[in-house]
Amino acid sequence: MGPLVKMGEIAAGWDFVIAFIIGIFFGIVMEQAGFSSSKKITGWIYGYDFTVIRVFFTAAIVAMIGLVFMQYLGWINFGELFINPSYIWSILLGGALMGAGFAIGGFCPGTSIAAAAIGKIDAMVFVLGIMIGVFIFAEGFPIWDDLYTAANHGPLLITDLLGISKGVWTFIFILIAFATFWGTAALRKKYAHKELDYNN
Amino acid sequence: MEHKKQLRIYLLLTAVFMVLAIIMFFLPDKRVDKELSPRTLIKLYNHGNAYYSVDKVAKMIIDENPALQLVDVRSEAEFAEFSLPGAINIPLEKILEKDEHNNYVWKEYLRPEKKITVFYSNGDLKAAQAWTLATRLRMDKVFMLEGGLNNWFDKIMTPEAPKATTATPEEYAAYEFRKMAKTFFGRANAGQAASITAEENANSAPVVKKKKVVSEGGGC
Amino acid sequence: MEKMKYMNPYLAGFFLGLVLLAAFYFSAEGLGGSGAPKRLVVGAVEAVAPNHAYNNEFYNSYTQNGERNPLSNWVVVQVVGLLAGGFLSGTFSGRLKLVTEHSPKITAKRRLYMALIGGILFGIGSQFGRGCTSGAALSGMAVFSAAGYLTLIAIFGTAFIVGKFVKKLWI
Repeated sequence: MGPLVKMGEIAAGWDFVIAFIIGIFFGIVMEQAGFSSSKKITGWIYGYDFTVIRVFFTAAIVAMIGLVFMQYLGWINFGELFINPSYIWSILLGGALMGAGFAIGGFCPGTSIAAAAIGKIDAMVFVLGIMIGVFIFAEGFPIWDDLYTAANHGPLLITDLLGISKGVWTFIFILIAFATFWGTAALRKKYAHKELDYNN
Repeated sequence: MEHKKQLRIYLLLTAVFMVLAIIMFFLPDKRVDKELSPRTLIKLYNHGNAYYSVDKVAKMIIDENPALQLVDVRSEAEFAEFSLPGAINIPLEKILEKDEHNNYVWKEYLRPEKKITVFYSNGDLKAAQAWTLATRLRMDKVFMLEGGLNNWFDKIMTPEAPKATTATPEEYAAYEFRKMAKTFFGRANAGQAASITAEENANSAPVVKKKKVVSEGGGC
Repeated sequence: MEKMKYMNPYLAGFFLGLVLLAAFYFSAEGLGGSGAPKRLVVGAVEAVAPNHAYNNEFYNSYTQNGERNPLSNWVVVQVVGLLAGGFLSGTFSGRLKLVTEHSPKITAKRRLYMALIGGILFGIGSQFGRGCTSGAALSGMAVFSAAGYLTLIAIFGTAFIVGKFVKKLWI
């Protein structure tokens, strides 16, 4: 029963080997999807390329369906998975900063690393920026410590919040995702002419 | 032509996922245990990192390590009589108290995302109960003082010189450290530092700022 | 080598979902990108000024006064793999090229400044959000975490609004 390392099914030493292999596949998929190009990543904002949303939502529904089935079949102990805690204000502020960084910088951390790997200089600068940002956050930590830990609702699940089962939420989310897929396909036709020739 | 073919594939995929969605809808949910499974708990315990040795804790106190949070789980009377510097008191009898949101009250006083929590009692038993509860509630970085205060007095306050014939250099180093620690804590217990300790204890008894507990962020 | 076309986004998403699922099945951890740069910063600060690192609560939650190596962590190893995977994929698809990619409407220099600003914002934001797009939003969504959905809405919502003001950077 998974998670294998945490449940002691395989030795803890394998953890890093698995992390490395998963990282490799993560990198390959992101690069193949075109996430190594900021032009493709920001396309959804202006309606000329919806790759990000399509990849993102497809990945989410595949993982959700997989987790629901695995839990149903008893292959995974859902309680052992890491659930990120809901610190409402901190998340909203952080999300807003990240959103601005997304629109201005054209990457997010994972994609910038994949892009830096194939030689995108803008991505390398972006990674440098992340480190500067972390440094600023850390040095000023005493100032925002209280905000950082305010309004914590713990590892809250959306299914518990809405009082529905994981399967029902997956059902709803699949509907949302497919509505988005077909909707963006229609939008893409409308804005396709806006594509510009980048210098790569 | 190519475009039509792609459209057909997309329509087919949509249909497949709609079927999956409907199956999902009717799949029963399993109750998720919010507490750590007994199996994982035993694994954590057996890994041998559930304990902090008295030497390690002594060194952390002397170094004024800001990450250390000692928690005395003995009764209030015992705590008032003697406690380790910087410890807060959460008597074991109070450990099962819950607030109106059904959260354990004492969880609010500890901040495991920032602190290393070390439970101690006179022996091992009470500390072990506190450790088990905290670990089951998925608190990160919680430990017990190995051997409790009895061991503390044996090793730190009355250090025993290693036998000259069999002792290794490490044992001598440990002995030297303990002698030094004894001087440190002896002074702290008797002299001017005592007032500081007492004050700290008074302040840090469960009136600490209310902050909820989190585990250290994973994922990113 | 001739450049190959990108993978179909739905197929890529399907594979990404499987990778995510594997990460959960084996190690209980989701995918992440910002954890490694963060830990690199913590490690660097600890190496340069250990006392400063131990006195700052943020750094010390990762170093524990030198008790823990901030770089000995799942997400760090995973990001090393991510670099390797990205490089492999770029090699096979003929996309390996040292270049500053920018819209014809702005100069390369401007693009680099903007990338730096964006990175800094993301660096700060990912700390407040306790994870980035992949770590908090994608992994969080997959495990039904309310925080994951909130992060998703906050990131994509703000990006959409801010994007309207920085249109010139892209199109």
